Amino acid sequence: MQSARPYLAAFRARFQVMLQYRTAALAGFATQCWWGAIRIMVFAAFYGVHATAAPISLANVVTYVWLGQALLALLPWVADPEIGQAVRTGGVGYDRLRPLDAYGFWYARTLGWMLAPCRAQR
Amino acid sequence: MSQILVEALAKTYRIVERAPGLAGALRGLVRRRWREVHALVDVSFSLETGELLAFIGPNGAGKSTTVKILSGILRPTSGRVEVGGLVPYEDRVRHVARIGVVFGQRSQLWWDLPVLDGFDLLADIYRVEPARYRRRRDEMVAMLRLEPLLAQPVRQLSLGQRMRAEFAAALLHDPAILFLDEPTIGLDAPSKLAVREFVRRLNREQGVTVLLTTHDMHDVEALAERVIVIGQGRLLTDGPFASLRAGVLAERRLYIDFADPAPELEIQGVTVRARTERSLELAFDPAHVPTPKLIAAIARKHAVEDIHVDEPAIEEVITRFYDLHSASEA
Repeated sequence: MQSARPYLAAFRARFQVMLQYRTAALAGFATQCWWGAIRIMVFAAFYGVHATAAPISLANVVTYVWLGQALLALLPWVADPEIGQAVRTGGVGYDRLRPLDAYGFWYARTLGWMLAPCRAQR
Repeated sequence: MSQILVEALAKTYRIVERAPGLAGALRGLVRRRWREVHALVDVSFSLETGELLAFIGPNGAGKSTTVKILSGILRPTSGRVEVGGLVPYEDRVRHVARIGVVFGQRSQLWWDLPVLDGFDLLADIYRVEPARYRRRRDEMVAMLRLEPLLAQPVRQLSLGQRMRAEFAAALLHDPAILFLDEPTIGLDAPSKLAVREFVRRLNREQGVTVLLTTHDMHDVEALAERVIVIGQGRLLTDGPFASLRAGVLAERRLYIDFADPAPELEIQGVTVRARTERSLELAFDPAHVPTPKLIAAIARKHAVEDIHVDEPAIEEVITRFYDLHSASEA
């Protein structure tokens, strides 16, 4: 596993840093619950009017909404914001000084950031 | 063979220019105007293993560009660069595994990680074998007195503490060459001394080749035997620091406080640089006017309260060097 060692380390380090942000994690969790509740209320209102025309049951819709809220953070259209910050400040020069494929390194970092339970909601 | 070889190196940046304001921004969308900035023009030098070379020059002279090309971050516009037999920007991965770099204005340690975790991460990134890593890390921790800082997150360190950790971080993979880009910038006096002492030991005891850029002339004086002066992208001189100083400015200064109002002095080879009511600042070349004779001559005729000799500040040596050069260019 020698070849994967730097990338695993980057993942681990980023994950570990994210674990420090407990308040942000709780806030993110609360936000997701709030939006989930609102979406369910909207659907429940629709079902209350026209339950027969719906292709899936309200119970299925509720499951779908909660899955969506839980997995929202995994949508791959954002990367670790610290990478963008490094590009702006010039710190990215240091990433070019590592004997690594920079994209693989950033990918591992971003995975660590995304998969951390505490990622702040944005 | 030289460890670092630079031949006819040139780097040109293209910079977009636009008129100010919204109108200018809109016009810039349609038609772009470029301006070429010659950051480096025909720079050549070589460096042997174990040497310690200082690059000095004003802001924007091209020092950092040179370091960035040598370390493989930037690609030159033209010219040839070889470091340890590799072309840095073509063989980047193999090259960067053998060098260490410290940029004085940036951090390579992760802000939120404790220092020790940052070191572990770098050891993994450079794939340093664990036993070797521990040995090297302990050596660096001892040399830089990092023991009390290891558990602290980097964001809590003072600048001086952080720079010491940065040096350790740059050296964990035991590089043969160390590039330092303004390593003492912003540091207080004791931290500067610590950094200089460390770099000197590293160079003398471990034979690490060091190339540093700096504004701080005391860095140069304390560290480098060889100095390259660079200005407006051109290499102005390359040689021992002593000869740079001797060549550009051999002059000495004599500061005299008189008991009575300062007299008019007429001594050949001596010029009065400044005067107040009771003091004089004289400039002279000790090769033509020996210092003891000058002092004796003045003390014999006048009532002197205090007297001391000084060299011109190194900043002044360099400034004068630039002036000389741009004059010869024009």
